[in-house]
Amino acid sequence: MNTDASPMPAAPDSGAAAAQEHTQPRVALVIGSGSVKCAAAIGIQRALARAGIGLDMVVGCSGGAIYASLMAAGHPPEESAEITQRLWTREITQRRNRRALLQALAPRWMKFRVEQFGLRDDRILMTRLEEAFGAARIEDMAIPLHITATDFANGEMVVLSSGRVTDGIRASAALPFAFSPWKVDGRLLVDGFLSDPMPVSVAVKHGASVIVAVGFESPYQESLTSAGRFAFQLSSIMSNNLLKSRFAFQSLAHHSEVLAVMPAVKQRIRLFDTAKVPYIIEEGERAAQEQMPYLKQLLARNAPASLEA
Amino acid sequence: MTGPVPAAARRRPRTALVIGSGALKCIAAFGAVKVLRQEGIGIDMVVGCSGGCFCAVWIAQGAGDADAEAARFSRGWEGSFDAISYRRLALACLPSIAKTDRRFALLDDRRVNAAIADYVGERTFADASLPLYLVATDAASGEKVVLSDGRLFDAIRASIAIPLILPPWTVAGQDLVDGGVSDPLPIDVAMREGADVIIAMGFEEHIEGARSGLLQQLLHLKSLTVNNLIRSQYAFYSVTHHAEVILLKPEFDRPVGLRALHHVPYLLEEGERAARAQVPYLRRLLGLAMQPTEVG
Amino acid sequence: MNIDIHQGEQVTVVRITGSVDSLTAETLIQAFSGQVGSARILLVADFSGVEYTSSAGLRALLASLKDARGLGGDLRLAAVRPTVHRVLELSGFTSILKIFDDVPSAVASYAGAGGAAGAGR
Repeated sequence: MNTDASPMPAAPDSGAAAAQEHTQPRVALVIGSGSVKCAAAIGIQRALARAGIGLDMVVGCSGGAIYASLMAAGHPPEESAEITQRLWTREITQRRNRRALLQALAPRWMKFRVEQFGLRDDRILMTRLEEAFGAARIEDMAIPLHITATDFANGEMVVLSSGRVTDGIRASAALPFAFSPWKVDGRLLVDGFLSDPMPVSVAVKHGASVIVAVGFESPYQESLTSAGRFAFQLSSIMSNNLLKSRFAFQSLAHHSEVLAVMPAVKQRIRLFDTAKVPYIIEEGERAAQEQMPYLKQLLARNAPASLEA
Repeated sequence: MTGPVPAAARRRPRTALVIGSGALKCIAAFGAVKVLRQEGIGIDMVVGCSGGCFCAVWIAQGAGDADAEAARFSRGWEGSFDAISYRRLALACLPSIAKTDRRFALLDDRRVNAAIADYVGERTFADASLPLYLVATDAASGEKVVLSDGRLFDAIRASIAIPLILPPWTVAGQDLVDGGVSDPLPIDVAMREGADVIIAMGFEEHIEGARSGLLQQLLHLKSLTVNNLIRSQYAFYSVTHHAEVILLKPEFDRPVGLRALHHVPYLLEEGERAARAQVPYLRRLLGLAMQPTEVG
Repeated sequence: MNIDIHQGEQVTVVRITGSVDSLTAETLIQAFSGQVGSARILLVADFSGVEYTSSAGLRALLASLKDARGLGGDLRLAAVRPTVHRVLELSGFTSILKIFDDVPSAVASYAGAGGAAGAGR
């Protein structure tokens, strides 16, 4: 357990140094929302490393922001897996925010403030994030990092390319009602998945050549036995339609390839099933492995001319 | 290729009107259509989703006076959303006792059904003079379902079945709900049916400034998602269509709830305004096939 | 629609006035592909004079954008009017390309390693 005040050391990634010479990032990894299923990204990182392909850019949304940040900080796959196990446990959402409960029941009397409203106490989450990332800043990461959240006021996607990593993740993973929205630079932010569950557009905007994207659909309910479940079902349907729609657009808008890695996670994974992380990583690696031959061909073909600044 | 509609084709571009979901806001479509007709812009095909079905059906049946039709529509709408079914509300709150059933709904739909029946009677799609497509959503899979035959009543009732407000409607053995759940502005239907110029009228949900409670927050988040979905779908269709998708999107300055009939004049006005903003380009675009190309 | 081209040392500024739509799309594409074809792949589209843009117009812009990026360059927008910016937002374009308040910032964004100097919006 790292007890230093300084953040985790950033180990340079073999591909990153070479990439700096080019105007465009060659390979970008986009990790969409999916809570602990996002660990599949570690498997993808492994597959890329085995193929000798370095990452030049990482984008993370919601749960994916944690993995994106770990990778950007330079942690090799095994370390990321281990840190995740320690960071993301059930205790994070165990403490109820009693004040919030009262606010929900008697909004006017208890002065309901949407900025503060979250049914879960976020202190443990913040402590864990600080243990993992300390005072690390997004703009100082070894691999360029971008974290996406959603502007609570108008629903627009907000891309955080600077600032504290802990703030970025806390905002990006601010699951509505579970955790309160998070203020960054004067803007109230919530979970990134509300604007785009898998923000490939960020990589497109930065001119990345090949984009590897991993994301997950919101799970459907096992049975619709109450209006509450039905409401969640609707929410999942709409989120998934948004995911597909955004992905379709982004694929068309991109000048090169967007490779969607779809791990076959057959078991039902609940929010804190970190025991299943090794299985998820394996499936992520397996799914990524299938794309490696084509990815290599693409990189060989698209070797960009280096431009003088 | 991304070129313009070739002048050499010399045929009038097939023009579709797509009216998306938006509950009562959809009445603005009557105002928009009034302007389009005044400007001589012909419609060859209509697609309606949720609240947009009423205007779509009216156009497909030959479209008389827009203002009179809007008034008729308002009268039918009035009172349709008043009858809350307390039995259903109670069932919705008792998860362990309620049956595994997708039929949760706050409203008793008898008045809504009577209003729709008054609007279209027993008429079918075959009675329409223009190709007409109404869009609903499969309650089980969340997928889009396009209705283009059978009774208009069934299609409209299915397409407006707002989840948790109205019960789903079964058509040909399929449980259907609000078309807006799968696609609030189904431009792709017009694309698939061969339209060149697609005039798409979409209605974003109003985003409130102050949010004072849990329910408001829930509705707020739902509105953000719906608006993002509308934009995302529109972006995708714009980029995949071979010709033109023209968006008519009124910018309403106020929330318009299901019962806000007092806003109807305002809604009609904003619908007219949104159409007028696109008329100059529409006229140029549709005139293209009839005149030699000019350098712009 | 009018197009004025100004070739700087590294960056080419293409100033567009009028309407970017299906009637003018072909002219737009030709102007941009002319630049890209002569290896001028760092492009700025000055939108200060653009009053209107349609889906077909945006597709033309997108085609040029992809061409430039395919060769390692980019196409960035500058000085977009509020009404046009709104259309770009609705059409998803603000998420996939960089937009700057004015031409100098857009041009300056190409300077420095990795184009990192200008993050755009």
